Amino acid sequence: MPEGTIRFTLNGRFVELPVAHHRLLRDFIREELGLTGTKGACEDGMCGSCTVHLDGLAVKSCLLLAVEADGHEITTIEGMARGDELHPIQQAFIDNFGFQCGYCTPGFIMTAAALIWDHPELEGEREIREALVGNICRCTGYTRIVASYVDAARRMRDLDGKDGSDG
Amino acid sequence: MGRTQVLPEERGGELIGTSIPNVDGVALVTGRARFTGDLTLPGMAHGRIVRSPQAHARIVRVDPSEALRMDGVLDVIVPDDVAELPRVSTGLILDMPLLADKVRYAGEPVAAVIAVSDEAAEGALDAVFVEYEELPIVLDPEMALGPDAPQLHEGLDGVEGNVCWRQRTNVGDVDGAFRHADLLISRRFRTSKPHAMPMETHAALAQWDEVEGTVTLWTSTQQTHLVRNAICRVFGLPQNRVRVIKPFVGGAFGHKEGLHTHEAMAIMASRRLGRPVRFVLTRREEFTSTVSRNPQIRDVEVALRRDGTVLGWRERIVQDVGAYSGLGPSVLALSEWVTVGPYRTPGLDIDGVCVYTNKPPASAFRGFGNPQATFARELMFDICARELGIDPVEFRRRNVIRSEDLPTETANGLKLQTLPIEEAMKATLDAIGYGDIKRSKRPFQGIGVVNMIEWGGGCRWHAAWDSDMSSATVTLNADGSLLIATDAADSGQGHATMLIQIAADVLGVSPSEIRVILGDTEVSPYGLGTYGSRTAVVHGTALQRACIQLRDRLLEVAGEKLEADPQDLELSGGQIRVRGSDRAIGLADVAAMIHFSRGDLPGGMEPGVLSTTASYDTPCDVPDERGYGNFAANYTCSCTAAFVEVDPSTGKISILDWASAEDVGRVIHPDMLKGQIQGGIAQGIGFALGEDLIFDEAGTMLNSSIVDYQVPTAPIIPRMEEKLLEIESLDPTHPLQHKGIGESGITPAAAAIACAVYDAIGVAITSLPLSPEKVLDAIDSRLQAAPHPGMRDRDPPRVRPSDAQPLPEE
Repeated sequence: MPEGTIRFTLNGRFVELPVAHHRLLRDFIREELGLTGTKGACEDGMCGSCTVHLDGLAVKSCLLLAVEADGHEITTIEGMARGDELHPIQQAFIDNFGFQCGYCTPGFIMTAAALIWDHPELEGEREIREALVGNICRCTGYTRIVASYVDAARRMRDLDGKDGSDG
Repeated sequence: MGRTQVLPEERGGELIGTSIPNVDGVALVTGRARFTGDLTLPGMAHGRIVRSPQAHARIVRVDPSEALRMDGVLDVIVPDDVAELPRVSTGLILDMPLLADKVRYAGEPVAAVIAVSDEAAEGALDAVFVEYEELPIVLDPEMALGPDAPQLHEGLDGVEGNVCWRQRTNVGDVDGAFRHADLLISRRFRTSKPHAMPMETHAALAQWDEVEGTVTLWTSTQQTHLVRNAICRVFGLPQNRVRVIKPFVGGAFGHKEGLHTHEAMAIMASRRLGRPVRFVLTRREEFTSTVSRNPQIRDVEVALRRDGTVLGWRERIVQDVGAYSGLGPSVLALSEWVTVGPYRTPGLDIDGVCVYTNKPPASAFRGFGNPQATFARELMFDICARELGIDPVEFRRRNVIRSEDLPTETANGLKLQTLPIEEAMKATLDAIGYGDIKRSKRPFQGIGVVNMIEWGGGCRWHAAWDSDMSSATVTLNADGSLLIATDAADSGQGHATMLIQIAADVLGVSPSEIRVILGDTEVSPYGLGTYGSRTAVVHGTALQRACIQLRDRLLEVAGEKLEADPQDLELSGGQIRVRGSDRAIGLADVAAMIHFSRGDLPGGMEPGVLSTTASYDTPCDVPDERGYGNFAANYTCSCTAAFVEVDPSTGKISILDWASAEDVGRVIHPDMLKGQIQGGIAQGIGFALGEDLIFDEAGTMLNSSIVDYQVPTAPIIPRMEEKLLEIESLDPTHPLQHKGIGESGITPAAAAIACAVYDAIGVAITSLPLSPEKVLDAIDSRLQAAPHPGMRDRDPPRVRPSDAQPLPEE
């Protein structure tokens, strides 16, 4: 199998590793890097449970090859909290009971974070539901996920107001 | 919350009834929670299953030699390796071999490949040569009943042709009811074959320890002890040498009950290779090779008086269990016993069969047989109401079991202590604004209002399985920390949080002092695991008993130290104090005394551990041969209203609004309870709108991916929050007065949508799912039959007057 070396930033740290050319980014993250918070639940890019950030954009890591991360910045669910301090979106999912089994939750949190950054104007229930169409949850029926999203967006706006950071 | 108290009464303490944070929350939102597929062990090998592309075939030869020569391949397990091992089943009929002796459905396991990597194992699957001799197949359950149908399990004990189970429920004077009725209405209903599709696929990791002669299996399951028992039976191992552990489980819904082939293969391979072996099923394998809901064909005939009173009920059910019976027979039995729902019926006669076909097996799926029964009954009621010219809600009002009749016993022996169905109807109709919708709805909009009854945790169905027991152990360590261990197997319900609430209230400690272990057979006491809405009731009661025993021991010692009668002591804030005084002693101090200090203990008491175990076996009955019996420990009910709009050009159904009121018993955790109902309804909406496994003529599944098997995404599901109402009816016969509500949401959902669509288009679509094709076809048929939308069904119910002898007055 042809192999190369990729260099990228993962959760703020520089990584340089050999990788087979055909290796999926999802499998590389889970197996080679041992970061199992990124899940897999389909083989078709349909479920969204493997969502990570590539340069701040939400991408499905089962639809990318690991080599495509070369030179980019990747953030996984493990990179969202700062030490013991949860990201406001994570806290919003806890406070609104936006998860049940939790298997799809990392994917939803990564999708929600990118959406809130890029589309702070998204506020309506229907718009948010349409925007979350790429992630599947089989437990909650989505109402509490949308509530978590709305709460997270509010918290991040409040943070922005305070310190101007991107949350 | 919109809750009303039916019987106000104080039980429990401060935490019961409050939404404390989910104790698993941080692990889950940070991605640190470990599911089975996230676990690795040094030297771990990877397994994959070779599956049959044929739906019915004799296996002539399996040759693994080419696969074994491939890079990285360590082992191949073939049918001959397991030929001597007993068959398995989640249910009573042991009909399933671990690897096919003969292939009975496309997707059936034929061999297992073990390799150094998942990639190598996957790459070698096609190199395992299997020669099949094709056999004729049968996919339609009614065809499978024919005398010339291909036989799936010839020679299997108790199986006649393809019929593996008969279940008859025949109580009350049904024949008399049908003789005296004003009219009889009959109709056929068909339900589909949806898949539970939990987000986490099945996975298992086995580690055989040659020195100890033990095996540990980490697996995504709902039933650690039952999986252990099955492993012991299959491999001839004593139960003290097999440990089954449930890591975090990513959804189950009945789908993860019993022993699966990949679990057994992981154990065999680990033993053969001397290294840990992990299997993770792909989504495609989940669809093609794991269990779905049992599809049913229900031929319903109802005997009615002109005024809409239901006098009697007859049904014939043909249930398609697929290639292996699993829990199909119990699905059928429970389905029959809730057939008439929360309505008064003097008699019913239901005759059902479970039939084998060459499709993947059907077994348990949230709601068991109740969504099927509820769909047929409630749509039938709307058909009857329309035939009689009575408003469907009024029709139901005339037939529901009335509050003034409680407590009561139904024709088939359900003992109902509480059943606030009238209250639920009123609350639901008010919440959705039934009258307003009826008056102002536009063409192609419709509203459906349905009722259901549901077992509320704890049930029995057969004398061979008459334990309904689970257990909990609570241990107070010498430092004052508490550990709970139980066979409850959370897959997202929030069991640990709920159990902490129950324990913390009895023992007067903070939730943060308690840790919970769920489903580890070497730590958790024995029990049947989690299924059938049972955990709040069965495990909750067992745990409360264990905590009370522990508390009594603590009070005895504390009473001695505080020179007070244990009766006068109370536990709170980690202290045991004399009521109305400042004399107190810390729980940790008492724990330390009991562990370390004989001199500090009351006379005659020796140091020891503070660990108590209690079990709870629910007090319900196995119904008799007539199907008469109080099969569940308690019952819940609900009324659901769905408001929909049908697009006449595409056949698409949109849900505009939803309301329901559920009897939920005493609430433990309001938010997690609501979550169970919300999630159940969403699955029920999927059941109504499109979820169904589809097969071609050769028995090959056509939609074995999430692309093609369409589960509801966020835009499909309406916001469901303020109009989901809870009614806390308190059953005086039930220790904690909790009710299980895991299946309450899904059960009425498809029925509600089907009734709403009937209201919207004037044609009853009697088969699930309500696909756009069927909707368009139905609209088309109406337009052809009646140019003015006053309409009749294309396939009208068969209505015949009975021999019209007036029934004697009740």
